[in-house]
Amino acid sequence: MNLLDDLSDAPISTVRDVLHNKSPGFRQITEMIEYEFFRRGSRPELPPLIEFSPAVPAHQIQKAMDDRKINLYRLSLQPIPIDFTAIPRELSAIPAWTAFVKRAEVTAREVGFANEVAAGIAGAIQELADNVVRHSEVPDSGMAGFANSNGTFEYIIADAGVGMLQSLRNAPEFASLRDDLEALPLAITPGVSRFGRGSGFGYGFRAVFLPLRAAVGKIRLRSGSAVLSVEGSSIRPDLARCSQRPHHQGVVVSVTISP
Amino acid sequence: MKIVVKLPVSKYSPTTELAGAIAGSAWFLKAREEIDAVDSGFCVVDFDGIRLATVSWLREGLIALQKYTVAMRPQIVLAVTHLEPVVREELEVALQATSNVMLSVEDAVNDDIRAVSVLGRLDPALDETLQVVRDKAEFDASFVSENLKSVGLSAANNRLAALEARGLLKSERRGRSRFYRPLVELMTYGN
Repeated sequence: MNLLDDLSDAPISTVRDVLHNKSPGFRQITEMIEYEFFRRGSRPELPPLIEFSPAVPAHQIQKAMDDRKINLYRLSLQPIPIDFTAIPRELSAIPAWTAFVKRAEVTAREVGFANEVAAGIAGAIQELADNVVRHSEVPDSGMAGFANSNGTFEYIIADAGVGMLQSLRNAPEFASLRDDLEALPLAITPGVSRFGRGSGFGYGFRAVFLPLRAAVGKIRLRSGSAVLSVEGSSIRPDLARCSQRPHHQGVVVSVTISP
Repeated sequence: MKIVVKLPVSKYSPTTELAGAIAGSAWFLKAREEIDAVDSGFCVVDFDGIRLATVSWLREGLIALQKYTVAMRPQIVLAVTHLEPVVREELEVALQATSNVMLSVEDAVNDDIRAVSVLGRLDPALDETLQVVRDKAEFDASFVSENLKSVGLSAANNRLAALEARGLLKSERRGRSRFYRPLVELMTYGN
């Protein structure tokens, strides 16, 4: 069970207890960013990330989420253990965003991925960021992050937008979707989008699954009152499992992948 | 058959991974200017060095450029070349998703085209029509109707017009009749 799923509806005292004393806390940057999105969007009474994680990344995540701006002058292309940024509306028209994606790619290569898999990971990050800008309806809320975590590459794309269910309901054929348990499996189905089925749209998650064909990994999609996850080797959308969770405003996609 | 213009995809892309509809649209707008600068002939979009192109990028970039060319610049033939296997796979998915087909130059020596294939799948009606006419130098709707017994003259006309709209045939009106030819020779499809 994901630590976030354990804590999301727990009393504040339990959350503090677990994060301060009983657990090593979040080990992955993807969990840290998801927690902060969840706290800000759904349970602001929960302790902020920096209260129980004094590490530098927690402060950087906090600041980045407060500022919601990309550092336009950060153009380094060197691999880096941990990195994250706000997602700019203009995406690849902003050199600092392109540099962020390139750093993700070279860091994935450093983890041990072949060039084509690292390129696939970079493509998936761009594709998900594109979804935030085009579909979340709150594009300025988007954040992206990645890390080299002891031989595993992890990345996250998150927003505080309308979420998958409301987005899909824009399509007349999906207007009667009952809840996120119905919406999330549809959201990762090729050819399904807020424009309906067979409209030529709805292939964003295909790019996420592509580099996982020849690797071991996990995809976690959290939106609204559900979480969808799929893990293992050569994972496919039809292997995903979906279950109910406390409400989370927006969409979080986090991926871990090992060579 | 000579390539008139080669348009390297990388010329207007900051990365060798092409992903996202926004990036695809931005590429289309720049590539369209290059197409508009050409009078006629074979324009090839060159994917050399491109390691990934997602369905979203291809839909808003390449396929949008093809639709524009067919509709607005019919004297230009658009094709692609140098597709990495993963790019070709994604393009096949994008073409299927948008009900399009696209020409791919498989072999060219000094810009002289030796082999062209059709990527994507046509719907069954257009597929059987193309199979009937693809080896013919010139044909009209009567020819299709005679060779496909269940297809009347009007339906044959519609099918040929649809193949022309997908960039596979070109036509010329002579008197009251319209005659069609394959857009390119040496074209293989469905092999």
